[in-house]
Amino acid sequence: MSGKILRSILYVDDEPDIREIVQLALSLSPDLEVHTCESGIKALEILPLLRPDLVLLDVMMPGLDGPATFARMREHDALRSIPVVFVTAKALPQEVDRFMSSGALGVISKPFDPMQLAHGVLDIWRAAS
Amino acid sequence: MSDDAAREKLNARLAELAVRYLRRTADETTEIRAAAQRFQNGEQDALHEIERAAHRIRGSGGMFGFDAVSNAASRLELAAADGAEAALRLLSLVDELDAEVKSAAASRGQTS
Repeated sequence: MSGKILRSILYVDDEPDIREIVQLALSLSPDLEVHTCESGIKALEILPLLRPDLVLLDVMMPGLDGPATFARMREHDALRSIPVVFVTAKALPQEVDRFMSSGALGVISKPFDPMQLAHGVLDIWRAAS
Repeated sequence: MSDDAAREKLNARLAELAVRYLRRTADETTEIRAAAQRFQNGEQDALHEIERAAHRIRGSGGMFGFDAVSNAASRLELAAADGAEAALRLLSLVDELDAEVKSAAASRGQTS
């Protein structure tokens, strides 16, 4: 990932309004190609085809939640290397520590300022590069 | 699209989604109240339904700037996660959420 420019993102969230906000908000950075989907299961289906540079995963989703989706990605040879940032409404310090120690690239707290989201994602990406 | 045009488009869409959010949340609050009553009648599983709905309302509300709605939903979510507190306060917390949703709608000139 070192020095790589962030070009494509998959955002996974079961809430359609938030998906639309994130899509529009990330589009403020015109070089970013943004895809969204509504569940961890769907993400695991399309990730091998999309191969985005980064996945943003909502934590609390019905069925396969964010951490479980992340764990499945880590079991999959083709998906293991795709970095993940968790998006959570419960950004307690111990939870953030747990996500980071599990290998996440970063954690974004909800609610976030849509106008600043693209900057926040790019900051996480650059900090890890 | 220029930066300014993209921001303007995002702001306009946020405003539309905020209206839809308040309408939907008013409906969901009615469903939460029904679930709270089912819980009072002994249906323990209703608490999970309430916790999940309150979580969703909390997350999206903050995104649209409805902090009071989001905070009321947060109190409800926490109570639903704690069965003992739920038994004592659930219906009054639903009332608080309902009041905040109506207040937010009124401040935007909406009738929910």
